[in-house]
Amino acid sequence: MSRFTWRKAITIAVRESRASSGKFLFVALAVAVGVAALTGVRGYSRAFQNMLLSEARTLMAADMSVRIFGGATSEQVKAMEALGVDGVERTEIIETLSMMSSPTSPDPVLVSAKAVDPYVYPFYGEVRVQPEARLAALLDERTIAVSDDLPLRLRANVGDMVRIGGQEFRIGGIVTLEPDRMNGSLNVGPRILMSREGLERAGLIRLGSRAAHRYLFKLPVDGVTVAEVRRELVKTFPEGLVMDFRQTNPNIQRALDRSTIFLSLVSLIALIVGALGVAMAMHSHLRQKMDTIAIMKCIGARSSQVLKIYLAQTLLLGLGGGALGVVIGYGVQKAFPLLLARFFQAPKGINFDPVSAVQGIAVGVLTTLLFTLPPLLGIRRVRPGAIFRREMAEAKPAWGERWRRSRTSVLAAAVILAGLGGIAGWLAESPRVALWFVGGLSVSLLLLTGAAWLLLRGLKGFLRVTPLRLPATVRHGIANLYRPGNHAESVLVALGIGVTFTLTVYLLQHSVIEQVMGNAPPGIPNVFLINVTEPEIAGVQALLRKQPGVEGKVEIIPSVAARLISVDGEALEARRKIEGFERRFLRTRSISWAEPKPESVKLLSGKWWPTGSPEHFASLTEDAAKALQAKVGSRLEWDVNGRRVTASVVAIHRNEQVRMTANQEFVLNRAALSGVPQIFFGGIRVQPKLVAPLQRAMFEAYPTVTVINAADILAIVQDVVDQVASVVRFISVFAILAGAVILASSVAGTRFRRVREVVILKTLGARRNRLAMIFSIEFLILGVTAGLIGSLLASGFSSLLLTRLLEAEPRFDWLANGVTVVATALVANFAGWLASARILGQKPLEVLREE
Amino acid sequence: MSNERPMIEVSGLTRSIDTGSHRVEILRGLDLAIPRGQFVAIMGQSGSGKSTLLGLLAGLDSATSGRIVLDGVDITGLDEDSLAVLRGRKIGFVFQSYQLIPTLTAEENVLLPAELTGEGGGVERARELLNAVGLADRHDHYPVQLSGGEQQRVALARAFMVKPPILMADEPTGNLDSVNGRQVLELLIHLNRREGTTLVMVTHDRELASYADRRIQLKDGRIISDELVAGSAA
Repeated sequence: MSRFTWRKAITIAVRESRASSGKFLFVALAVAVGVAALTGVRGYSRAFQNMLLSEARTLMAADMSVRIFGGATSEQVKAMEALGVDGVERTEIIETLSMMSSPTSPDPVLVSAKAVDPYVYPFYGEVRVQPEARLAALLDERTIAVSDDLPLRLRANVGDMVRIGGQEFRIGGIVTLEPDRMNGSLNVGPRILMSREGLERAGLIRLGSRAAHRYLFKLPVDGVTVAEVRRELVKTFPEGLVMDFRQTNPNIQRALDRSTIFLSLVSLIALIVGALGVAMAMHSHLRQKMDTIAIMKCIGARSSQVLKIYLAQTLLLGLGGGALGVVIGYGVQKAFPLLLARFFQAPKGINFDPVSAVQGIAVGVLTTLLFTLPPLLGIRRVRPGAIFRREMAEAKPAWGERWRRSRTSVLAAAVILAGLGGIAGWLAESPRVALWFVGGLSVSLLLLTGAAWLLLRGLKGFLRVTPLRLPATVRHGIANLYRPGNHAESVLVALGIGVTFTLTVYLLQHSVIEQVMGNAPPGIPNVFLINVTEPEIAGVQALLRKQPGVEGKVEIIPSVAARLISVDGEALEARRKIEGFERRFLRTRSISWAEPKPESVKLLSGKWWPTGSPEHFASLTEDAAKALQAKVGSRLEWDVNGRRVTASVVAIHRNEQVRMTANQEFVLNRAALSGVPQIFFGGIRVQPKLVAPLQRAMFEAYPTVTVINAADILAIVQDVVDQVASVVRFISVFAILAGAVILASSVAGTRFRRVREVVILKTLGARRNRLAMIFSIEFLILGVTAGLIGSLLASGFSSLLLTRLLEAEPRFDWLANGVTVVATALVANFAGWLASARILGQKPLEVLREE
Repeated sequence: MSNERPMIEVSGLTRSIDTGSHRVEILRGLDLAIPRGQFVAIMGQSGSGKSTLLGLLAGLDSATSGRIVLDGVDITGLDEDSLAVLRGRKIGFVFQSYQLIPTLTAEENVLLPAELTGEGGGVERARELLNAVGLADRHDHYPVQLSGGEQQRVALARAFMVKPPILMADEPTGNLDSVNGRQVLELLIHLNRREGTTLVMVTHDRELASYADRRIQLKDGRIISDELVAGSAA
């Protein structure tokens, strides 16, 4: 006997699919929707992360930076040059303070000078100058650019000459955008931007000068990684502050962290929802093939041959559907933002991502194979005699046989879960996430299967014992659910899983957006005031209230220069070895007081103090607590202008919003710092175009108060945060819509089994609206039950994920849960009707003749 | 009767079904021998067990007890795959409801047994058989595009594709009108003679049975009569 080759199996599989191309297209489309959901979400996330990270880079003007006081040693320079071998580019920035004067102003002004190599700096983003000019063309040995407040203070304009370090320089332009300004260490007074040659000519850097050196690094696109370079730099500069582009701003860092977790979770959920679509489609497809399989066996086909044919068909469907899904996913990525442009800010930079495409096709084929496993294994059990005695197949098998059969199903379920876990681990690059994922899916499956079992038996019992005289259509609709061959259990489980994960996406995105927007709310201050004295506070506030363009209230934060001496009675030096950048805690730093707790401060542990308490309390940031090994209950001692101040740590906090001035690492209560000399920092939201008049007014009334305009930088932060929020919303809408489509298709997949029933009822005289009513009752019960159980499971999962992964507080969302139940019932009904419409119009004889 | 070993031997055959609440005895101990080349009609009323007997003879179902030997092979202990191989080589089928694969064309349906078993020739043989049943010009039609009579003729061609020594027919004209029924029957007998197969046909139609060499009557799972027909109608 000749061998039954794969080629032969594929030929037969293709012949079959060619004849019923409509049905096959339906199945391939179901696979495609699943894969589209997955590739859409993943491709979009990837493109979005790349885009977002490139914006984050502009805030550093580089991939990485090191900040040190004093220049690098020759060993350090050698180490940095060694990085150059790997393609890492580098430029040095020197920042220092100097006095500056002009012939038109009698008083010199303290300025922050920043010297760069304009041919290299910045690696990312751009520095904008007015009148427009390239930095390299503008900055030279004799020409500088200045910040917008300098002309006001020095009464000098573009083209005028000024003196720095005894040398004359020409003001070549006003800096209107300097994205990496927040990474500078010296933010005192007006700023000037000059070339390294200019700095040398001015003679500002001499032995013992207070200058900060910042080295910027640009990494090659492929090759050495951020982590590798970071390791090398930390080793080379033990006392330097090494940062990468993710850390330029705490708000961006948190938004990125949360959105990354969220997006990877949504990708996994898209995988479940997509796999569900594939599973339902393949299950329904192979069920219809049972007669064909029985006939094949009758005419001599062995199980392995049939298996080969349908395995080939499955692979073809998986490949075809997967490829189609990638195309749809990419198309939707392109088209969706345009469609929703009115509601969302459309993220830019969506490009075809081949990695996501390959992943999508591979996942499509794998999930198709996994979910076809039970029906494929079932091929061995198809008895050829089934076509003789269909009614026998419906007879309930003995317990032993049922156990034997369920053993195979349990094994298949275990393989599917393990396979999905493997895919999840691959996609999320984390075995821990894969375990969570498999656990969540298993719990949902168990609960939903149990609920479906209870519901069906409950309904059966209800119809038997109810004294109510229910209309015949209602009785028929309910009875339809548990009659043999209905598969209501599997539809309910599929619907329930779909609802669970779709609602989980919504609940998560809701919390994530709340958190991300909370970090940078629209009213966040963008102009900062430095050096406000206590007697000036009332006047400054009054001036700001009258000033046009000022929005919201003025934040005033007190600042006291203090040096931490001991923690829990132990001198700081003795307590533990404080190394590297943490040595900053040994120096005099700014501490603050606040009563009650400022809104921008988030409590992580402990309790804030009561207002007006005479005792001394303190709260410190988690970073400071970690560096100092302090906790709630510790006692801290400071030296404030020669006076000893002690306070008990009652809370650990995190600053949720960016501050350019007081960093609020240590916040004490009012009583702890009463009577010590303080200055105040202010923060205010001003319309960007009206910052200049405010600077003028403030300078005229309070010349010692410095006004820092951070509107341009805050605009970038706001933009990034807004983009995170809009992408989270966008991907959620995408995943939820894909979920709805797949839910609909899982109901629609049951239409083939309805054909016979509709035909018989029609033959017996049932009219279309009566049939539609019977189906509606059936779909309604399925939809409401799946909606109820699914929404409860979703609330449980989202609570778990929010507390464990996203550090957010969960709360039960009644509205979302209610809407979900109603929406599921409607989707189930709509899909059911849509799928049954053709059947309802079919002539009975067409079907009976085929039988 | 010749001394040659029978093509089909049945001894002590029983079949019962457990429906969960009670047990239904369908066949209650049958003994039977069918010589090579004989045309046997198995008759009986609905529920007498005739289709079950046919299914058991073809290895489509498992007996509760007893023994079936086909062409010298005891099939009672064979596993599903060995039964499939045996069916592919030795048995052709004609069903009452045709059982063509709806997604394959007439020619592909006829060709399928040969492709699965690797025996019985290729496209030429399939076309020759379609020609023999008068459907040469309909070879690329799907079952749904054919009438009932035409579908059954395709099923006949398929049954003879691998030149099986045994042909089993379950009410082959049951779904057809008298004209088509007669045409199919004539073709069945013609091909049976031409190919020299042993034909076992289940029917409740006396006229149809009159064409057979031998008539076996079943009632409540037992053989109540077994008669050889001296000069059958064919």
